[in-house]
Amino acid sequence: MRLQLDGPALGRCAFLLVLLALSGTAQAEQLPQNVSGEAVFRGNYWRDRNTRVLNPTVDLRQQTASGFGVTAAYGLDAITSASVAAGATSDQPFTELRHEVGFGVEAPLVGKSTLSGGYGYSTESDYFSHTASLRAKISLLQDNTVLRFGGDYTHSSVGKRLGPTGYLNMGILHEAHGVAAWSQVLGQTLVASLTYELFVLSGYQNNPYRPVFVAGERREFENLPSLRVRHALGLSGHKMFRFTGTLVPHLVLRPALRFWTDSWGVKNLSPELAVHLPIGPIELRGLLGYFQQWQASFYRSSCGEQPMVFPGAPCYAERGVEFGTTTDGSGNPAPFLTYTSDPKLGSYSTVTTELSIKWRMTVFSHLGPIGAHLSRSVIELSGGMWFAHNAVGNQFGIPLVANDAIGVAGCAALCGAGFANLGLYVPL
Amino acid sequence: MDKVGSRLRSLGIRHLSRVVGLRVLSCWLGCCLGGCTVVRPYQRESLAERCMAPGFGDKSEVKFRAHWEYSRQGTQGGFGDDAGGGGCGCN
Repeated sequence: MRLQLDGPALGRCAFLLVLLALSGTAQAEQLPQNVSGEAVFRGNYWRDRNTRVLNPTVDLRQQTASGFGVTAAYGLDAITSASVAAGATSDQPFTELRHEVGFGVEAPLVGKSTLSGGYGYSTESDYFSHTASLRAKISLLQDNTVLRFGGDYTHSSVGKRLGPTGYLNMGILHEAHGVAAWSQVLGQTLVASLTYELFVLSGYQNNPYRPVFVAGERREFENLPSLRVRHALGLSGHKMFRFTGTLVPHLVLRPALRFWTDSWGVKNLSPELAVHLPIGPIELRGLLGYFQQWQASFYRSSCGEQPMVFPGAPCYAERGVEFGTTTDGSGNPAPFLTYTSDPKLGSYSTVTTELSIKWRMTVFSHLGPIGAHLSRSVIELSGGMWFAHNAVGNQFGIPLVANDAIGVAGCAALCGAGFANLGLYVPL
Repeated sequence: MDKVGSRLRSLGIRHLSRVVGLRVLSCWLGCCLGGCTVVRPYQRESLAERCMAPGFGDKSEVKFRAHWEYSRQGTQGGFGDDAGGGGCGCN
């Protein structure tokens, strides 16, 4: 039997959910931060034109009274119906698994300040990476000012699959990441944070699967510079507006802004607004985000209309774009000709919408001590859509109009992808 | 002509982003430095709510978001304490 939910049926389900939630209590429940420890189980799902990702994750965090803490994490990316060429016009779908594990330890310094370190490993059929992390958290002014500094180093081996068992090593990518973050409590209902991140990527950065047309020839993969320096700035604020009622005691607004720039000329700006609204034991959250990117200085789509090529997709009428220098066969300096096959280096904009429901399990509170503990657990259900245009939208979006003539698989000018999550937060 | 146009556009974007960035940053710093009130531990009832944790949401939630944004928008970081990633998973 196939379950189909049309508009009215969804509306009835939502109404029943709210009714069920409110039947337990007419008073809003606090959804606390479980500072001492928490186990988080999540099932994430992503669906777009050429990829479906099932991403179950487990995150564990436990802190002792003396201030020591441990963390552990596992994540699986089950990528089905995937395209090895991620947005290429044609290739064979396959299924791939990526496993990611990580652990960390935290030790107290002075007061509430801490020092932590961690290690992570990720493996899939053509990409293997090790990450080592170090963080320092400095807490000042009775925890009203929190500064965080840290760094990571990631070593990745990039390969190219040659059939089901074959594998060709393409190169190594070194990545250094530094972060500085400042969180400031500005009042009893107002908190803000500012973060800066620096990424230095050096080594093999090409995607070995996506072909690109350069001066009329089909090149099997792109030719990107080996060094990329990226800067990311993030600003966010949380403001709570309190109400006198007990059913809806407050509303929280979280405006945020992120800005990126890098040495390849890519610039991005992303404002967003999240609204949290508790109603009884549930909390609703809506998120609306906008993302604008200005293209890399060497990105070109200069071949005109081509059969089986998305409008705006990377294509070079000339031999590529000069970007720095390299050495030729005899050791003399020569211009480095760059060309990319990645539509994500072009200019485009996206819109992200998400609605989430968090439900505190107060129904267990009558079941003794274990029930009381479980009653602090939270279930989360969320879903959203991501819309994009230009080459990115055409290549990753789900066709919204079946008979559109522009996109190869019938994608309209505005294309979407969907995602959903189911989460369980259990205090430890 | 195209080169001049693209240069002007690039300068315009650079100027605009610099102006917007500086204004947002100065507003944020003004808010922080102007309102450095110390909130006592017993006054933190509202700040203890999960939705008031600084940043962009629960860490596991942000991890998934950072992952799909990297795969589909090519961005990296911006959430503040992203552990640098590890693994592509972006095919």
